[in-house]
Amino acid sequence: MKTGTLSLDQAPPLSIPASFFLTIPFGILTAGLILMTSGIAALGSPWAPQALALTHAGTLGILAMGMLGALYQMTPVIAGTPVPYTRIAHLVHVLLVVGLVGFIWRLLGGPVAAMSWAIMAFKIALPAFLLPLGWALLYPATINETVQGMRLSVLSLVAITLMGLMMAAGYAGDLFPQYRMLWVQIHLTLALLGWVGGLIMSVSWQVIPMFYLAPATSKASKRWLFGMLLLGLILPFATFFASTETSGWLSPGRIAAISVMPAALVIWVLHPALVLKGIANRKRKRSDASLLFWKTGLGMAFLIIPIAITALLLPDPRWQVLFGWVAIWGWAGMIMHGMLSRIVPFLVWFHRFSARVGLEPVPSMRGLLSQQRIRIGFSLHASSVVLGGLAILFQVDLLAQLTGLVLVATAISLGNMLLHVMRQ
Amino acid sequence: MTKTVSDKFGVLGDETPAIVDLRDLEAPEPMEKILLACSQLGNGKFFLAHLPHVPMMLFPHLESRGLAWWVHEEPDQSALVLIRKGT
Repeated sequence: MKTGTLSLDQAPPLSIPASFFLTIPFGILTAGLILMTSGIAALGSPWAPQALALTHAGTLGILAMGMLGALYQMTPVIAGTPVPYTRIAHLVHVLLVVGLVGFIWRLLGGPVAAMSWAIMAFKIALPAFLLPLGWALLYPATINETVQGMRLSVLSLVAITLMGLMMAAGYAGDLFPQYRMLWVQIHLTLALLGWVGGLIMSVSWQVIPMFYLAPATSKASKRWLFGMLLLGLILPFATFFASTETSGWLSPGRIAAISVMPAALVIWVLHPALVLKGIANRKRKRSDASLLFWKTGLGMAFLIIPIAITALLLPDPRWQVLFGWVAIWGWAGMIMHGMLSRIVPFLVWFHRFSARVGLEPVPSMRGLLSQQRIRIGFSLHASSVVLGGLAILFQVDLLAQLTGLVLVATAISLGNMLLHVMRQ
Repeated sequence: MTKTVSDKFGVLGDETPAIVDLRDLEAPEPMEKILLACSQLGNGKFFLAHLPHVPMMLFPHLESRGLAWWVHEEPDQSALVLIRKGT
């Protein structure tokens, strides 16, 4: 039996997650504008500066914004420990925006100084985020699999940021690291599977039963999934200590890509299969448009490993670009968009109305956001995923620009939805 | 041996309130139902709910309304929450 001493002060103010979440439409808008102006140049090769700018508009401008906001919100709730000095989150948010702008500006032809400023901003943002949040995760009142997953995710974020900073220095007048391909492979692996995948998986264990009444994943399954994910994230590091000499097809970058398979299977096959099964077995099958995002995003996950294997086997760079597109926008971006359409109304209801329940009439959470608005956002998001995929496969400039246009429409739709809910 | 509700919550004594099962409700409906029920609770009376998980976000509201609460996590990760108005 436990009794509590939680106070309302322990939950972060709505302004903290809201500031991160409200920046996501700008991240999507940036990605759309890059595609509209660069066209197929941004989707031809993963090494093109326009492609790197597009990728990081997705990873930093969309995914990181949503994930940092979610971590600030969920850590006190799930770990039972408040994040100390939580208002530093506003500084982290500003630094992330400054860093992202400088990073993308430099890649699109801006001055070397833009990247130097971006690196400086990220260098300050990392400890400003890590120290308070890491403390709350290191000393939780409650420890469970979700807390473990969040720890792994944050640890991966630290590693990818440090690696990313060293690689970004190459665009700021310094040298790129030796064995750049290997660095990129590990950076990408930890980012997609550790940082993004670790958080999606662990948060889904909490939110899918809570919001959709799906059966909870068993503790044993969670432990297996977590163990396999950890193994798959550690193995690629072994390639650092193995031969770093290129030996034919089996280069260190490719060895790293193959050794990550246990983690890839967990994040892109086993976890989606378990969640989809759980959704199919919901206790109360109530219509909910946000589930469209979950089902589609988890369905897209099954495509990622086949595309990655094709990219490994074929020298055609289109498959590498398609891998990034499907993983960032089709899988993670889709799930994040769906989570926003469910979690933001919940947070607004919790912060603005829940304290008045029983004391005066309050609106229901579902009354804050119509299903129609969510469906419009889903249609635009799904259309952009398909159009982008076609643009990559057929390398048609007009399709790339059209994808950019639909991304802009998706950004407007999401921004409009978030503002509509937050103004209530 | 299966524990009774009184075993799980030592504060209950002889008075064992009926368990209100809220496990088939999605967030935030359980919180809504509990806060509504507690607003009508008599002084010194108990309210006992069975929830799908430990409701961390509910507790601050109970504290701010001056309600005492106890929670018992079940093996299936669901939770029994006992709430009392007044001392």
